[in-house]
Amino acid sequence: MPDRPILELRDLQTNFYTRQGVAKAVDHVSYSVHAGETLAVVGESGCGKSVTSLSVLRLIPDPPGKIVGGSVLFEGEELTEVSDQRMREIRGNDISMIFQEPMSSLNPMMTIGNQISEALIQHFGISKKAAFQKAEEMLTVVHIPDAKKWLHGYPHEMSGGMCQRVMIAMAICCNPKILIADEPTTALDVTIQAQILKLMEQLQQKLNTAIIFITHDLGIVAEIAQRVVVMYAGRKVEESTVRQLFAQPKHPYTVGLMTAVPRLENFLEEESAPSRLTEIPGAVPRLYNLPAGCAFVNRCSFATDQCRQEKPPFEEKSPGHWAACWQEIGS
Amino acid sequence: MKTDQLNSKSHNEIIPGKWARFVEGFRIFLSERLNAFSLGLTVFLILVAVFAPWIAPHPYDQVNPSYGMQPPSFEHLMGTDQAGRDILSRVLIGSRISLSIGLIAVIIGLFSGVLIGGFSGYFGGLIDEFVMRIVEIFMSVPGIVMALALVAVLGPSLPFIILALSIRRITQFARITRGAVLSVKQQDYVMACHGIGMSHIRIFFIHVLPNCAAPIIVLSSVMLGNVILTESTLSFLGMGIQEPTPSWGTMIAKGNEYLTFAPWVSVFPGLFLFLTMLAFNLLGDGLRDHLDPRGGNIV
Repeated sequence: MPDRPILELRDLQTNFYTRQGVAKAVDHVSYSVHAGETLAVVGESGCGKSVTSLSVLRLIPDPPGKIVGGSVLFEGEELTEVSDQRMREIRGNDISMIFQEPMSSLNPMMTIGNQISEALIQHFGISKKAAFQKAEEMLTVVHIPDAKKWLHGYPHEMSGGMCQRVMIAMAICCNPKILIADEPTTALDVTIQAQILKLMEQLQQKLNTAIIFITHDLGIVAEIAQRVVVMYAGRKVEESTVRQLFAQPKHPYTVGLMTAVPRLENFLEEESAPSRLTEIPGAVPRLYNLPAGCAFVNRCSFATDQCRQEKPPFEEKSPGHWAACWQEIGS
Repeated sequence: MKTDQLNSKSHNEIIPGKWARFVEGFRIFLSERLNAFSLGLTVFLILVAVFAPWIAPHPYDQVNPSYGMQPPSFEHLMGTDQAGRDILSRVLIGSRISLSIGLIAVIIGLFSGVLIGGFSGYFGGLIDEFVMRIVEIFMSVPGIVMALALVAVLGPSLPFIILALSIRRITQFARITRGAVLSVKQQDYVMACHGIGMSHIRIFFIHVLPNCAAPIIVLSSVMLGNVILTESTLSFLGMGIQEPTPSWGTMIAKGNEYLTFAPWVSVFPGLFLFLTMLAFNLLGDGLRDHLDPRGGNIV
């Protein structure tokens, strides 16, 4: 892409210092997003997807977490070095985040209207009345019927899908340039998922927002993203466009993720009995003592001695398609 | 749009206003008979204390030595004490003293304790350690012993008695608030507040403290009864309110000597003390059940 990315992560490193040792939750992760683009970050639980995005906003609880290296450039501004004051101005206003759990991410003691207008009052310094008006508008934008009434409603009176839409309204009410969506649809059922995704797409077209979409659902990735970053054990293992990734995954982990997705066709074929869903054996290794070589080595069916001893470099396997693997997968 | 309407839980339900919510919560609270009783008793005691000078049939310090130790009669509904003073009047005026001491001590304890404990829990780290160790030192001394010692050193005047009583409340409120803040600050919505760029002070006062309200409200009500009892104990031991100002504790102590032949001298102030304790403790219990979300009624 010719223009400069709006957000660029370079070799970001975030460590957690615990009693068991140092956990490198984010280990030299780089990626970038352009305005109007959707980047999906994919991986299992505990791969460092959320920690990476929290590091961008400097929301890592310290202690035990700490950003120890690398840089985060937002429109050329180094976010790891700006003052707390400036960081607060950026949060919610320029970069905002939709959190995973819609029900628990809203304050149970506060009305919906008050919560949405908080951010508006904070960043634009407008009056409460104007903020409420804007909040009502935002609720309408996220398709909440009877927005005016719901301004005075409490979170426990709403369904999970409505809470998530309120969260989205909160996140977009200041017209952010970057929206980080941390598994925004995981807690919802499939029909509402579709609505939320559609809503985010519409908003992106309207505001030209860059979206970083964190998920473990490859179906959603195919649906909304242009580019994908696959993370494993705090490292980036593969990056490419969605099309290339699905056509020709270059890392065995990505292959594993894809075969673990149930496919309707397999069950509909008449001749063959539905095949058993394959899974990736084992679990993500503890981050305290990663293997010397590739972190995925113990779960990989292609592993060789080289994989066990040396870390694979993150290299361009084909134009626009990077992966960190010693083996030539899928070519 | 059609699906939206299906999803919204209560599309046609009217969202009640703030006042309607309060009334509804209050109605649920009162539907429990014990709650209605304790609230009624509390209101009654407060009204009595406020209007005591007008209700009292005699001046509380009117001495009439030739008319001492009279049993209850129409003239003196609760009888008279050794100096011939009307016990009903003294009990009524005494309720003013007891309730106001309780209220002031609890308010001092509430504000300072909540602030100290809240900040300590919210910001954590070394300050938290330091504050909590100090609180523990205060809590290791039995409350009545500390109050006695303080009053003995400073002298038994009203401000010092209140001070002696409120120091312990500060530590208790600090502990309770700290615990509540520690759990509330882990909540996702606090993280979400940071995510929209709110400042620590704003998050602390607007999001964290209100969510700690339930245990603090319950503690306040129980503490009110507790302080009044401690004040009576101090007075009973002669280190509290001094004669001729009436105090329940002093009256019980004085009547103690005549308990066998003139029980009314200490029984009636004791009865009022008992009723006050009962009212505040039941109210506290009722509030705890009512404010606990696991109980079903969320205010």
